[in-house]
Amino acid sequence: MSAFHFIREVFRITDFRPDARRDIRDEIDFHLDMAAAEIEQNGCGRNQAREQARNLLGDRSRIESECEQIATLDLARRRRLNMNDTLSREIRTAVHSFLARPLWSGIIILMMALGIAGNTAVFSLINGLFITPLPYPEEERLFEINETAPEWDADRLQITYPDFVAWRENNRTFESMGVYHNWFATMLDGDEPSRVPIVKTSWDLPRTLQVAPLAGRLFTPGDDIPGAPGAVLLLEGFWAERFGRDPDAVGRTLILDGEACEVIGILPAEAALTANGDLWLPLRRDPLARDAYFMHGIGRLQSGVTPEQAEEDLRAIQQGLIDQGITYAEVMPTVLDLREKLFGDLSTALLLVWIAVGVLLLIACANIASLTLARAFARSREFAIRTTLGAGRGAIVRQLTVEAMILSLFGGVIGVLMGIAIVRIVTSMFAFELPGWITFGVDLHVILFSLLCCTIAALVFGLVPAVQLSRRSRTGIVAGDTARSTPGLRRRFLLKGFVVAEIALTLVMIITTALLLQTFLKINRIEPGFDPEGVLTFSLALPDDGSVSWTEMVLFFTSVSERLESIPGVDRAAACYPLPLGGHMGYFFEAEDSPLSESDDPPPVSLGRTVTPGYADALGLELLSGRFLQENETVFTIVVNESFARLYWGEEDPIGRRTRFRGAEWWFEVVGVVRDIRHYGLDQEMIPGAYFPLGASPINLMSFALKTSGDPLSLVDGVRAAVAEIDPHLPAADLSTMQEQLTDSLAFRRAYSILIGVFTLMSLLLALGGVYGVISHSVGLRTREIGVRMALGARRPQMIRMVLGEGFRLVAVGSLLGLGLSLAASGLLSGLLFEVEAVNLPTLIGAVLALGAVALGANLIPAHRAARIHPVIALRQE
Amino acid sequence: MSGSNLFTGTLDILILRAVQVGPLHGYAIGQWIKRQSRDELQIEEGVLYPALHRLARRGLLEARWGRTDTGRRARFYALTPAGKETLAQERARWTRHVSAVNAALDSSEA
Repeated sequence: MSAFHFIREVFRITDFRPDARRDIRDEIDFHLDMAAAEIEQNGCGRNQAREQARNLLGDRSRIESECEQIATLDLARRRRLNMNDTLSREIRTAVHSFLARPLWSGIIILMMALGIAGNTAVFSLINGLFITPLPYPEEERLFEINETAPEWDADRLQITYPDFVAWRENNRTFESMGVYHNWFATMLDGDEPSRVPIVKTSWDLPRTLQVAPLAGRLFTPGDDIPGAPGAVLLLEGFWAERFGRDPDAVGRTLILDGEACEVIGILPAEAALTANGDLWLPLRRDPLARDAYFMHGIGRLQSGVTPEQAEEDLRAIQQGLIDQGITYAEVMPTVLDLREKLFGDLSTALLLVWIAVGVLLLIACANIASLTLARAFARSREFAIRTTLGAGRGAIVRQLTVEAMILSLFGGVIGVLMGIAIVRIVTSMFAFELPGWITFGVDLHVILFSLLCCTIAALVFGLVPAVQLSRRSRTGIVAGDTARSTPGLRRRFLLKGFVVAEIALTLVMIITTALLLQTFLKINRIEPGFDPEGVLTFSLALPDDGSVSWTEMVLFFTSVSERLESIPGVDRAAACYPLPLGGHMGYFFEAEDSPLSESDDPPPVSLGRTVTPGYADALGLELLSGRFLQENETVFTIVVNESFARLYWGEEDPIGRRTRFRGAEWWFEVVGVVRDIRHYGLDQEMIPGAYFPLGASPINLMSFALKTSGDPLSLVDGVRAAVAEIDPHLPAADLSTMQEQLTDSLAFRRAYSILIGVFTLMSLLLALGGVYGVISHSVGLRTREIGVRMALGARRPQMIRMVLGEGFRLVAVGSLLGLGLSLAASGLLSGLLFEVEAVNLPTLIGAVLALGAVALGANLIPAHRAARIHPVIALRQE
Repeated sequence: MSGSNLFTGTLDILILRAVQVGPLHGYAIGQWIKRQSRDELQIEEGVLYPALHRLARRGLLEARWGRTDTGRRARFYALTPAGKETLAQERARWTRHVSAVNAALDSSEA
């Protein structure tokens, strides 16, 4: 109680005369003595008598404080009291009344804090990602530029460089635009090689973002032409880590992929659009050479131009290119929201979590409102007396609202603090990669939002009971009938309304969690189609100054995989790009004797993998027919997956058939069919795919997979040594196990599923508390009624049934409402589910039964209490 | 002490009536009301003491420390002239109310 004591001291009435306080205490002491003495005369023990006298008196501290206030303020002054004084008195009264019931106040503050904590946390995530302006001047004029090819099933195809160059030269709606792609480079530091993530960008991206260099200069058009000398911009973080923020770093030289690159400037941390990309280098690409679709684009609109106008402008330019036969007719530019590009992947899950905490807050409010209402009616005599003594209806409403406000503010402050802690935990749980300048601090927006939540909550749980109560107190209940009569219909209706709402909302949460959980279990049971057990992976690239030939790549990567197989403990080693979960390489194929290749619609994009022969063994691919690629194979053989075979040849045997890259002059011969694998993640679609030899389409970034029967991590030293032996200047990067990557690929799903599960559990507990509270309150009020019924011959089981029946009706109505809500909300959820229907009967029924069972369980305690009521005692009560 | 509400101020009148015969302490006032109303009116102590202080503040009662028969120190309340006047007025108003209500209740008109 020492904390309460302190608060009490703070709120102590300042102009109070100490002797008046002592007078009141003495007066009450005297009263207790007299009362005890009289009870003792009736043949009672001394201590027992004192106890009874105290009970009769009731809440001593409240009486004393009320008397103190009366004694302190004289009547003339009271009339002149302005609003402020009234308010401060109401606050004091409220605080006194809370201190008299620390448990009750504590529960309300805690419930409020839980509701606010979740909302503060989730809102600060939303705020950091979607509300806080991007750190670029006039960021509202920045948009994503992309290319879209719906006929290829690629809404966001990404951009090919020649298209971008044409837009940049001919558009009339953009102030500036730039493209970039994330890549990597091998950096030599003395003799020590390391892999650094880089951004390759057109010269004008920094200018489009309008970031100012911290030192040095930005790129100029001259830096971005083929053959230009190497120039590099450092990001602030890299500059600090590597050069200790030394301004003289500008002008130094970094060896990147064997090329000497001059550091021309330092970019502020805000320039980063993704988590990775310590160094920015110009693209230096040939603008006329045909290229793949892999660039990201950002444009700054001229002021006053809408994105629709800009898109129209770019499409007109694109049509010109199509007419000249320079680009594909299926591909069109689009102008999209930039934030959506950067954080769009998170928005559905975040929205769902936001709704979950919103529901949690609503349930907390309903709970608090019913607690307040129940207590307000227990206090109705106090208020009736105040009315009798001249307190207006407004004064009582005001008093209750002030009380609600204070409790919700207390809860709100604790909630915001808890929210900050939750954000910390959540951001460490969510391992998704975001640019470093994204922060989830509690800023003005978050504070305002939390304050708004508190205020609305306070109005709900303060005003509703207040209005109810003051309506009742007008009818006058000085005669003290509250506890005797069964409470009014209207108020019981209101209390029950709160419970029904809680049940409905909780059911929605339970159904959501059940669906997410089923999805998660389903995903964990999914066969990836390959065997991640005992597989270590890493990646390797030759230093690339643009002159590495295909032959060099093939020879190099083949020799590396052979060398790796000689490491003790390695069963099989192979090179591949891309590995499962390792990205996408899209190819368009056409097939001989396939009905599909003759139709007008081009077939969808396929996933192409360039591999060395050991790959099927290293990854444990399941061969369905034919054989896998072999050593010393010609480049004209290919293995396809079952989707690919079905797409082009239906049920016919694909072995011996021919397929080729669209428009190529030579054919592959299909030698084998393997089972589809979950290349993009366990919860992702599988698409047609093919495996072809390294020589058919080598890429200067190969991943290696090593299979061992032991712990894959035990191979790490051997791998490093083997790579160093081949070339001491090459770094083996991204060393990790396949199993790890598989687990990480589900991290985001796991994180939001856990979050929603936690919020559901909290909602369920609060709702059960609400059901229990309202039913026991109702039993308490009906004690007399139950007593009468039992006196008239009703049996205990009947009474239990009566109480349980009341609870059952509430749960039933709430569940029906909740089912309706879930059906209405199922559309939102379906995007996050995988092979689980958003509306499925077993889940709905299971959730209703589970909730019903625990809710009725919460009723059992009050029901049994009702059954133990002794009729005589019940009737004599009060 | 305003308003037409039947019960408004009931407790106040009873307190003023209790001390009409002479100064009483709080406990005795409660006992007096209980006894005189043949135990029909139970005054809650939680209400009684604030009411006493309020009447004292309004100048209708005077509070003074004194000794009981058994010599204990207690706070006695006595009627002031203003209190006497208020009691008379309220009493008249109460009687008017009651007879008005009775007349209405006993009325034989349909």
